[in-house]
Amino acid sequence: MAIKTFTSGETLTASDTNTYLNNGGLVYITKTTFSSSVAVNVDNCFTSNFTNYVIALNMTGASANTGIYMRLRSGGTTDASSIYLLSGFISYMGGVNLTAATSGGATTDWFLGSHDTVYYPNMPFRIEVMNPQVAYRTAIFATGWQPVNPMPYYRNIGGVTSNTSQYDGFSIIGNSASFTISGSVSVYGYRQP
Amino acid sequence: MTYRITTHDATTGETTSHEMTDDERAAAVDPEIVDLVATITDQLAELEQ
Repeated sequence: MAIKTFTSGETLTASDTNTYLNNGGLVYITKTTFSSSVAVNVDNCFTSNFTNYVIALNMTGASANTGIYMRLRSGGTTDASSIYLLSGFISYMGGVNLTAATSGGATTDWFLGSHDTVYYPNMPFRIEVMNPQVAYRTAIFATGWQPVNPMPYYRNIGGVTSNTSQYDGFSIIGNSASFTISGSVSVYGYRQP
Repeated sequence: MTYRITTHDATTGETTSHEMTDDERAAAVDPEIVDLVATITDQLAELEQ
């Protein structure tokens, strides 16, 4: 789409409006809030309408300090098999400290970061998801945090599935079934021409 | 304590929440933690002998 520059006093036509609306960037798909839940599942958010997505996870609490993990879902079922690989780095905000982050092979989830109830609680996460609904490997590019005393580590990872299954949703979970998390999760699609 | 799972359907916009069943709780536990607990249990048993 060509970039058009509107001038003062110019009429904004329906055609121009529709063109720009149809060629915007991110398209809101859905949002939900969750409270004191072991897991929050979002189903039917990955469709043939989009190839790539971004998820905004805004934490508002947890029952205790806990890791935050992600799994993919299909047909209302969470895939908890060992298909999730990741690598990246964590970097401490209190000084020069750069450490590799790796899953060490395929695991049963993607470790996005952690939630601390005392030091920098309620830090948000951003997860870009590519190819979840097509028969290629699903990849994520996630940024998050690992808060410690007295300040957080920034965590930046890339993740990929070892399979080429198609998924229509995802699940965000804590360390185990004994940890509960609260917050909201929003999903947007990258608009396609 | 009650353990809930929240599920949101992007098609209908409906959000539901239900209490986890025992099977769901068992499935939600990381297998590595289960293995770790089993290892510790075995080691404790050996120490007691």
